[in-house]
Amino acid sequence: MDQRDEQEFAEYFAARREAVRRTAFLLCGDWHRADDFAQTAFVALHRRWRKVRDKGALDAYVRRSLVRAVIDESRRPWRRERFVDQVPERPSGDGEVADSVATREALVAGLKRVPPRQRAVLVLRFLEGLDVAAAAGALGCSEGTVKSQTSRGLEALRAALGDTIDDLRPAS
Amino acid sequence: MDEQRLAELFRDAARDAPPASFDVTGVRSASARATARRRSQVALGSAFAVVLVLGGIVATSVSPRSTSDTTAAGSAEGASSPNVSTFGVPELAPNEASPDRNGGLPPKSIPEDTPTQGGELSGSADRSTVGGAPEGCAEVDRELAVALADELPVARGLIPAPAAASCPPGSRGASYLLRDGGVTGTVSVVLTPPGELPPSFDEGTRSETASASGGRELHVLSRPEHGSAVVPLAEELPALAGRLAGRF
Repeated sequence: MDQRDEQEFAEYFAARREAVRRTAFLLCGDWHRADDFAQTAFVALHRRWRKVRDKGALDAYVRRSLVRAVIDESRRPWRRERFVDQVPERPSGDGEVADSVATREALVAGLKRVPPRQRAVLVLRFLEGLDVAAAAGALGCSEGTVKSQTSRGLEALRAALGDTIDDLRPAS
Repeated sequence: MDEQRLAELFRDAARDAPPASFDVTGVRSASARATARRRSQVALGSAFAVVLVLGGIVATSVSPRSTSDTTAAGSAEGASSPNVSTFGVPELAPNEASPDRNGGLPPKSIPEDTPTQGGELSGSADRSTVGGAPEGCAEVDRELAVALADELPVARGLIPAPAAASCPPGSRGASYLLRDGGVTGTVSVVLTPPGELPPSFDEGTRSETASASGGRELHVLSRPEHGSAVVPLAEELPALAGRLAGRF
């Protein structure tokens, strides 16, 4: 890449790095691995920077690279995720901060128990704020699949969390 | 369920991120490494493909030839050739690899059929001639060969060869490699056109000339072969030349 391209990439990287890291974290539940996935996505973007003519599609490209990397790694035998029956213990302590931390940890732990593809749908829809069509584009599937995966993902998340988070209780 | 509340929970869960462990420099370095790795893989793949293609070409071009070579070698020795190894590589018999100059039989690779005049000699009789390729009598003249064999009973049944001499243009010739007792040598007969110079020949060769019909001259040459100092049929050459000249 020439100097101008490198400058543009650096600006995009600075603007989007933290958002991509957060998405990666919710996809894998671990900040170290999240950084690896985020870097992988940015490296893929850097290699194709000159070929990406529609700069408005950069976010979609990074998102797709990230989701693909996480799902691919979850399929590898030596990194295959294992579900456990117990939710991690909630941190002891009283007060609003403790509750907030406990809620966060519970959600992250619950997300890790959701199958990778359903988890990706949930993260894209509720963290990234994508609508069904955009999520389908990022995942390379149909909108109907996104809807069904969202429904199953929420169900799996509720089952994983139980009554830990009240907001996830189905409306009766 | 309130999707807005759910989105807040997700955003809250991803809050308080630790400092990033990579920066744009690391991304550039990793990108360069990945690009270099990709290029080497492509180069390696291309080299492998080229090697495969070349190997295929060599295999397809060599296999049929080696088969035909084996067949040719086998047929030269007869139906059951003892000189073809089990690996299909033809082996030369000692007397084929280096013909016996001291009276051994003519090489077996000389064709059985006497070539007609003007026909190409496909044998491998390796007899040296003066000045390299002889001019004018580079091929065996069937008529002269038959006449010479008629006059030399010892030559009957042998394979004729081109005359061992450098002939002027328009000449015809033939020769036999003879073994008469302990004497081995080549006896040639050359018929030169009228007015042409006689053929030139190796040192040590004895020649006799007689006049043939039409002003032509018939030359009989006798050359001892390597290792032999005696000229074969030395005493009979004048009479032989005269008898042969009478036929032409």
